[in-house]
Amino acid sequence: MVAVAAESPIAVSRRRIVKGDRVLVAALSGLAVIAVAVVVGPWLWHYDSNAVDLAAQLSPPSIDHPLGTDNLGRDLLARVLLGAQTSLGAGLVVVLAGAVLGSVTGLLAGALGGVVDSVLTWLTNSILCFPSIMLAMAVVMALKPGIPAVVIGLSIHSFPWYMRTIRGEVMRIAAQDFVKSTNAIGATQMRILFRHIFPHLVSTIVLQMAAVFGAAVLSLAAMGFLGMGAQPPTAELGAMITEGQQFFLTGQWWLVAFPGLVLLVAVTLTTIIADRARELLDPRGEYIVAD
Amino acid sequence: MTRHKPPRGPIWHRTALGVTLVLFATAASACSNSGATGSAAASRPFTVNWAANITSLDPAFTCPGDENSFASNFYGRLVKLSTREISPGVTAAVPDPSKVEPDFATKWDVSDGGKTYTFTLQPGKKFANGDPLDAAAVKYSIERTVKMGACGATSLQLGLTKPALISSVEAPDPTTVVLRLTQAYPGILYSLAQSRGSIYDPKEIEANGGVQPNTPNQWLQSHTASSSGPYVLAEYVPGNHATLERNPNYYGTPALEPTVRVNFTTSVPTLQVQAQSGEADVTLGLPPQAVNNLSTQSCCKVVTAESPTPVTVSMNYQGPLTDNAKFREALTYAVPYSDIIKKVAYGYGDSYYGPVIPGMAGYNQALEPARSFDPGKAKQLLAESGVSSPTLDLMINPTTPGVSEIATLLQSAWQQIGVTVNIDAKPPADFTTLFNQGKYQSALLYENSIPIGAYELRKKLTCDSASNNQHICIPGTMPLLDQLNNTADPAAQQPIIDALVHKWLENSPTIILYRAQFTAVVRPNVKHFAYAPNFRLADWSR
Repeated sequence: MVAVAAESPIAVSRRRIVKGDRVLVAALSGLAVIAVAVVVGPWLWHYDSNAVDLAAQLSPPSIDHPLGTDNLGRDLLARVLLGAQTSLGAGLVVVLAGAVLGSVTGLLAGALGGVVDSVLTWLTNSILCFPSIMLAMAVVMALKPGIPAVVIGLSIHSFPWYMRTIRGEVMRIAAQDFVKSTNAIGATQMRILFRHIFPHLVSTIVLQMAAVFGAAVLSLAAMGFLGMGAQPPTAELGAMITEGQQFFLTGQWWLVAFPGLVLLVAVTLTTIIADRARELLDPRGEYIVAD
Repeated sequence: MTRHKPPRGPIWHRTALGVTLVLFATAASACSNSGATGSAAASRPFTVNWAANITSLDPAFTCPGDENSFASNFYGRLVKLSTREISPGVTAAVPDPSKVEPDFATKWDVSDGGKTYTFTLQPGKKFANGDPLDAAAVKYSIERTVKMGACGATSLQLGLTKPALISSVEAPDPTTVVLRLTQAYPGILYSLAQSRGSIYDPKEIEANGGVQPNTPNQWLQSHTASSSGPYVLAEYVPGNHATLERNPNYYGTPALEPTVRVNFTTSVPTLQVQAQSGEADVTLGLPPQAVNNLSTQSCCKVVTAESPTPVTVSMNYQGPLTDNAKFREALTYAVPYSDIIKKVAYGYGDSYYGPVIPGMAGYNQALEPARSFDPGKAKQLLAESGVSSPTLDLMINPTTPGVSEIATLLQSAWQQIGVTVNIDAKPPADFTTLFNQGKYQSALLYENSIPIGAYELRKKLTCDSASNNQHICIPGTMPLLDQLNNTADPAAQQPIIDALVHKWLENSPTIILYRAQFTAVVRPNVKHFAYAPNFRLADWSR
C-alpha cells in the first residue's frame, strides 16, 4: 500500500516523511555504514594495505584474510577499505569543487547577465561538448596520471552542470516580487544575491551534488580502469578491478568481486538518496512513501 | 485534489534488471564460447589474437618489436635466419649472423676484406602487384631505410651510424646487388635478415609520398608498399584486425595458410576467453599468469622460446643518487629475483646479470652469473655509498602488463634496506619519450634487444650516443668500443666484449630482473609454429 504524506514544505514535515521512508532510511544507513567503515576501517584492521606477502599470493577468502589476498599477497580487505576511502573521498572532492565553482559562476551569470552571462554560458557549453572521461584524460595527459589530475578533470567537467541549473534558478527567482521589493527598498545587489536568492538554491545544489557524486565515483573508477587514475601501490576501487580482471577467468574471483561490490553498493545508495531527495525537496511537495 | 505520483525512481527494479541482463549475457556468451567446435574453427581462417598496438606498418621507421614483427610478413629480404627444431612442429630462429641462409638472394660473396657483399638475386621475380622485384628495388629499399634516419637505419647498421656502416648500394644488373660497408662487419647479415632489411616496391612508395629524411611516410603507417613477402595485406582496420592473404608472386616457399586473420586486442580477459573457446589458433602477448593458467587446460598448449627481452631497471648514470655506483650495486642485491620469476613471471623467465643476454652472440656465461638476493650485502653497500634516507623515482608505463606488480614488489623490497621508492607512472607516449631522451632517474621496462652482444654493448656504452639513454660513460670503454667496431671476426671480438662486460659489471648501471621467455598459447591442432624475433606467420599452420 502506498501512503501519501501531508502536503508541506516545512522541515518538521519533511523530517517525518524521511523517517517514514524505509528505502531512504535504508540507503542513508547503508551509506553511513560505508562512510564509517572507510574512515575508521583502515585504522582498525591490522593489515597494511601495501604489505607484500608473496607466500600468501592469491589466497581465497579465509578467517585470516576475510576478502582474500591479491596477486602480491596483499590483504584485500585492507585494500578495499583504503580503496573505497580513496574513491569516495575523491568523489566528494569532485562534488564539492564542482558545487563551489558552479554556484559562483551560476550566481554571477544569472545575476549579472549580459556579457558575463554570455561568456560563462559559452565556456560551460564548450566544456560540456567533451565527455567527462575525455576531459579527465586530457587533464591527466597534461599533468600526470594520478588521483589529483583526475579529480581536477572531473571537477572541471562537473561545474557546468551546477552553473547551468543555478543560472536558470537565479533568473527565475530574481523575477519574483519579493526580490523586486528588496531591490526597491535599496538593498545592494550582493545582499540580494546572497541573502535573498542563494538560500533558495540550496536544495538545487544539494540535489545536483548527489547526482554528480555517483557519476564522479564511476568516472574515477573508469580512469583507474584505464590506468590513468590511482597509481601503484595506491588502492582505488577502479584500479583494483583493472588489476584483478585478468585473474577473474582463472578462478580468483574475489579480486574483482569485492571492489566491484563496494562500488556498486556505494553508487546505488547515492543514486537512491538523490532520487528520493529530489522528490522530498520538490517544491510541489508531492512525496510518496512506501508502507 | 488529484495527486500525481512522481516517478518513483525504481532503482531496485532497474538494478535487478541490469544484473539479470548481465548474467544472461555472460551465460549466453559462455554457452556460445563453449559451442565453438572444431568444425567451426576449421571453417574460419587461421586466426591470431595479438595483444599489440600497431601504429605503423613501415619497418624503416617504426621502433617497437610488435610493429616490426607484423610488418615483416609483407616484405621479403635478401637473407633469412636459420632455424632449429625446439620441439615437435616448433622451430626457433638461430640468432647467429654466421648462420644466415639465402632467401631472395641465392648466394653472396664477401670481398674487400669483408667490406663488400655481392648478392646474387633470384631472376624474374615480381611484387604482388606485378612490379619487378629486382636489384633496383633492393637498392632503393636499403637506401630508403638509411636515408630516413629512424629506428630502421640504426638497427640495420647495428648502431654504427657515425660514420654510417653502409657506404653505398649498387645494382649493376637486375640480379646483382653490391653492398659496400665502411668497415668489415659480418653482423650486417643478421640485420638484413630482420624487418629492417625489407624490400619495398619503389613505385608504390614514390606514388605515395616518397622518401623524406627523418620524416615518417604517413601512407605507410597503414598501407604496405605492395608485397615482396609471403602475404599481402588484404584488409586492415588499425587497432582492430587485419586479413593477410597468400602472395601468389612470392619468390619463396608459399605461406602454409592461404588466409590469416590477425585480431589486435589488449583485453586480457578477451584473449583468455577466445583462447579457451578455440576462437583463436594462436594467442600472443598474454601475461604470464594467464599463460600459466591456460597451460593446464586441454584447450591449449604453450610454446616457449628464449628471446632477447630482459626486464630491467635502467638507472640514469648521471642522475642524482643513481650516479653513485655503490648505491646502484646495493639495489641489485636487494631484488628478490627468484620470487619475481616464480610469482610474477610464473616461471617464464630466467636469471642472469650482465649486458649481454644469454644465447646472444658474445655471451660468456662465466662472466654473467645471476646476482643473488642478499639484503645484508645490500645494506652494507648502501652504507658504503654514503647516501642517507635515499628516495628513488621509478618511472613505469603502467599499461605494460606486470610492470605495476614488479614496481610494487621492488618498492616493498627496497623499503626494507631503507630506500624509498616513488612509483612514477607515465602515459605510454611520455614514457617512451622520456626514456629515449634519458630524462628519468630510474625506469622499469621490458627491453627489446638485438641478440648481438657487440651491438648491445655499443648501444649501451658509447659515451654521448643518442642510443645511450642511461648516459653511461665508463672510463676506458671508448677505446675498447673502437677496437670492437674495427674487429670483424667474432672470435677476436670475444676478449674485447669480455673486457667491456667487466667494466659494465663493475658499475652496475642496470638491474636485470629476469629475462622474459617468449610465450604463445596455441590450439592443440596447430601443427606448425616458428618463433623468430620477427614473427613469420607464413610458417604457422593448423
